[in-house]
Amino acid sequence: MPRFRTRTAALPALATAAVMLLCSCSAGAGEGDAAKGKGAGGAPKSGQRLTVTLGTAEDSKGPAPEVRGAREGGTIKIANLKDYSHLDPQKIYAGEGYSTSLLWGRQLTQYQVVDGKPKLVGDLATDTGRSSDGGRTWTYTLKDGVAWEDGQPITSEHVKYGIERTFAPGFELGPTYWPEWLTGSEDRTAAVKKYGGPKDGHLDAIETPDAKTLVFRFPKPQSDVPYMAAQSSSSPVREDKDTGTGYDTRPFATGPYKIVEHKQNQSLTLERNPHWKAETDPIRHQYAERFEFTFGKKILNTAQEVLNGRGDGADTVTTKSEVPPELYAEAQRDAKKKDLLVAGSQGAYTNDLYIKNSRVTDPEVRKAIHYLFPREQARQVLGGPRVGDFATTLSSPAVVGWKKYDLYPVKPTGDIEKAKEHLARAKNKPESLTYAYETESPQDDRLAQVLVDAFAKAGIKLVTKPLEPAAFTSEVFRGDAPYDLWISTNSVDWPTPSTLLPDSYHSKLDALANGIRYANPAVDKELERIADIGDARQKADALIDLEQVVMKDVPVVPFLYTGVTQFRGENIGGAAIHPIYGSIAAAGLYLKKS
Amino acid sequence: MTGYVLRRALQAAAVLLAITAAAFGLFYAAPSDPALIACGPKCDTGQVEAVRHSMGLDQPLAGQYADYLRGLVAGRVIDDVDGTPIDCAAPCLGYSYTLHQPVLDAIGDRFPVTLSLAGGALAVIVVLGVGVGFAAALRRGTATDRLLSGFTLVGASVQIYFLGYALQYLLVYTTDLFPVPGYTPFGDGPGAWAAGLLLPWLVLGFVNAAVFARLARSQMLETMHEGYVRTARGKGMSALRAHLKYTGRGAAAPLAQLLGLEAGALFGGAFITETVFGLGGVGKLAVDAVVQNDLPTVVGTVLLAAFFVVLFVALADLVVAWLDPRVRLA
Repeated sequence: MPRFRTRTAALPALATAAVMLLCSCSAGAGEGDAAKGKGAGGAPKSGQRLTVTLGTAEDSKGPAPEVRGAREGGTIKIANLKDYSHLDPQKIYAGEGYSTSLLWGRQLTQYQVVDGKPKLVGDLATDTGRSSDGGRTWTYTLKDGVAWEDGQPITSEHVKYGIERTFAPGFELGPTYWPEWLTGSEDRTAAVKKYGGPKDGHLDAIETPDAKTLVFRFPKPQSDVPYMAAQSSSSPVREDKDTGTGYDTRPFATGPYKIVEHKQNQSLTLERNPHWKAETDPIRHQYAERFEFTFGKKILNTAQEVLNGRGDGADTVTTKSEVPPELYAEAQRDAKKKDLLVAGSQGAYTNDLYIKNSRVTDPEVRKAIHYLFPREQARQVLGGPRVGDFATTLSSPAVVGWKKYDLYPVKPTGDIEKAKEHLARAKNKPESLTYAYETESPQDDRLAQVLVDAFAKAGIKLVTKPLEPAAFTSEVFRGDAPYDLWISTNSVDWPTPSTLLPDSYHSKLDALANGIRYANPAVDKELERIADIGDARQKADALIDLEQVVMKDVPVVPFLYTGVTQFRGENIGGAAIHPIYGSIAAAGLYLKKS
Repeated sequence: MTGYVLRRALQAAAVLLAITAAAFGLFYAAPSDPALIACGPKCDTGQVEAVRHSMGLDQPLAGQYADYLRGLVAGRVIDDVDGTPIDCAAPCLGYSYTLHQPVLDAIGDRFPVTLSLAGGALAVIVVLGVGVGFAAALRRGTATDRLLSGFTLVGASVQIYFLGYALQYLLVYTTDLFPVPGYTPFGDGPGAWAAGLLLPWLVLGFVNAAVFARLARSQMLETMHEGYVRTARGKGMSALRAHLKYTGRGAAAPLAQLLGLEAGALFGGAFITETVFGLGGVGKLAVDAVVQNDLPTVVGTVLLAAFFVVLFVALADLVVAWLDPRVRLA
C-alpha cells in the first residue's frame, strides 16, 4: 500500500553502508573506473540532495549516454543470496527489483542517470506524459521501433493490458495506485469492485485510440502520473504471452536482455535480446553478452571471492546485499579492496524511530524521546557513519521540493536533561515503554541495549521485545499491537512527497499504512485538500509545508538518511548505486576484459 | 534369501506409508494456513477462501490424503492459486505454490547436486573411515593408534559449519590452495565438477568418517579376538590374510548398517554442508521451503529423505544378510 519497506534489507542493510561517503576525496580518487563512468560521478553523500528532474522529449530519445570506458562482450555474474520472489512486472515492488528488472523490462517512463543525477524521461513513451483537464487526463505516445523479444511491436494495447492486470486477483502485492487512481477509489479493495481485471473485459478509463496512443482518464486530478509510469507495474504485457502465475518466474522481455532460463532459487540466465534497439532506449545499455545470476551462496562467501578475486569473483557483483561487516574494516585498510566497494545514497530511504502515537499520546513524552534518542551511539552500533547521515526531516533530501528543517535541534549524543524537562511537563509520565525489533543479526540486540541505557538515564524503563523478521510486520502493524517504539527503514514509492504523508499519516488509514496511528484532524483536512491538487509542483510544495506541521507533533524521531555500500569484482566496470533505487544498477555494467 | 528380500521390501513399504501419513499430517498440524501463505498478506477473506478451494484445502482430510496417495501412484491434476490446472505426473509429490512447479520437478532440478555431493562424501567416508579404523586396530596401543584415534575425535566433535567456513577462509580465500566451492554439472566437464566439490566432499566426508572410523576400530578389535580368527591364526594363516578374510568380514556387518544410515541421510540432502558451501541441492531446497513456508515442498523433501533412509537401510540389511547367513533366518 504505502511506502515499501525493505523487510529483509532493513537493519542489516544499514549495518553496512558507507564510510567511503565520509571522505568525499575517495569518491573521485578511490573509486577507480566506476567514478569515471556515467552514473558514478562521485559517490553521493546519503544526505545530499538528489532531486529528480523531469526530462524533455529530446531527453527521452535513445540511445543512452555512453558509460565512459565501457566495452562490449563477456558474461557478468550476479551472485545474490536470495532469488527474486517476483519477476512478474505487475508484482515487483521494491527498489532493487525495479533496478535489476530494467535489464529485461521497459516501462512508459524511466529514470536516466547521468553523473549520479536522475532525470525522469520517456522510456517506451516519447516523453514523460502530457496532462490536460487539470490533471484528469494524461496522454502518452509510444516510440517507433519498440519491440518484444520475438520482434513483434509493443502497442498501446499491451501497456493497457499490463495495467489492467494490477486489478486482478493475485496482484494484491503490487502497488495499488493504478487501481485507486483509475477508478477514483480510496483503496484497492474498493477499486476492484468496480473493475476486477482483464476477466471483466476492457477498462474504460484507459483509451487506446490507435496502436501508439494511450489516454488515461482519472476521476480525480493526478499529478504524479509520470512517476507512476516508471514503476514496474507500468510495463506492457502481451495477452498471448501471459502465462498467469508462470509469468512470475519468466516474463517476456522488452529490454536489452531476455530470460533464457530461470531455475528458481538456483539461477537466472539472460542473453541479449536481438529485437531491442539502442536508439529507442535512453536508459539502458547492452554491453555484456550475458548475465548469469546465481542464488543461495552466503554473502560472506561471495564477498570473499569478489574482494580476493578468487574463482569467478572478478566478474561478479551482488545487487541485493552490502559488504558484510566482518569484511568492511579489512576492505578499508586494503586500498585494492577499498577500490572494489561501491557506495552511495540508498535512494529516498530514511531510517527513523517510530512512536505509536495511540499509545504514547502525550506530545511532551514524544518530545522527550526525541531528545534522549542516542543517535550517535545507535549509528555506531549499526556500522558508523557509513550507514548514513543524521536526519532532521521526515522526508529524504532525494524527494522533490525537500526543504531542510530542524524543529527540535539536539546534539547527536542526545540531551538527557532536556528530555527530563519535557517528561516533567508531561501529564502522565510513563514508567516503562516497549521497544519491538527484528532479530536478524547480533547488532539488533546491541542497538536495543543502547536504547535501554538512554531511556534508563531519563528514568524510563524500556522493555525490549525481539521478534522474528517474518512475524514483525504482522505483529507490529496492527491497531492493538502492544508496542510503543520500533526502528525501521522506509522509502517513498517515488521521489516526490505524494506517497509519504497521504499514505501514512491520515487518521482514516489502516494500521498497515498508518502504523504509528497518527491522528490530527487539521492534518487530515489539509491532506484532503491537497489530494485534489492536479499540479505536481503545487502539490509537492503543499505537502512539504504540511510535513513541518506534522513533525511539530513528533510522531516519529528522524534518525538517518540511509546510505549503502555494495561491492564489485575487479573486472566489473560501470558499477554505481542507482540514485532512485538504491542498489548497483545492473543496466549500466560492463566487463573491462573478457 | 528370496523370502528375506520380500519380507524386507514389505516392511520398507509399510514404513514409507506410515511416513507419508505423518508428513501429510504435519502439513495440517503446522500453525500456518497454506492458503493464506499462497495468497499473500493483502488478500481479503474471500480471496483466501477462493485459493483454499483451488488448493483443495476445503475437502475432508481423509479425501485429501487419498488424493495425495493416488497422485503418488497414478499422478493427478492440481489447480494453481489462480485456477490454472497443472498436470502432476506420478509419482506426484504435490505442487509448490511458491515455486509454481511440481515438487518432484523442483527436487529433480537439484538432485544432481545432492547426488554428486553425497556420492563423493560417501567414498571419502568409506576410504577414510575403514582405512583409519583398521589401521588403528591393527596397531592398537601404539603411537599410530593414539594419533589416529585423536584425529577421529577431532572429526567427531567438530561441526561442519565451523570446519567448512574455516577451511574456506584458509584454503580458498586467503591462500588459493583449493578451488572455489561450487557446483558445475558433470556433463560440463568432470574436472570442474570435481574441483568445485573437492572441499565439500572432504569436509562432509571427514566429519562423518570420524564416527565410522571409531566403530571400525572397535569392531575390528572385538572380532580379532573371536575364536574363529584365533583358530585361523593357530592353523598358521598369516595375520594379514586372517584379518582380511575373517576379521574384516566379521566386522563389516555393523559398518554396512551404519553406512546405510549415513547414505540415506546424505542422499536426502546435506542441509548444513549445502548452506556452508553455497550448493543448491535438495537440502537447500528443503531449508528454503521451511523459510518460505512452502509446505508442499517441505513434505516432499521429508518424504524423499525418508525414502532414501528406508531404501539404504534395507539395502544395508541385504548386504548384512549376504555377509552373515544367520541373519536371514532371524
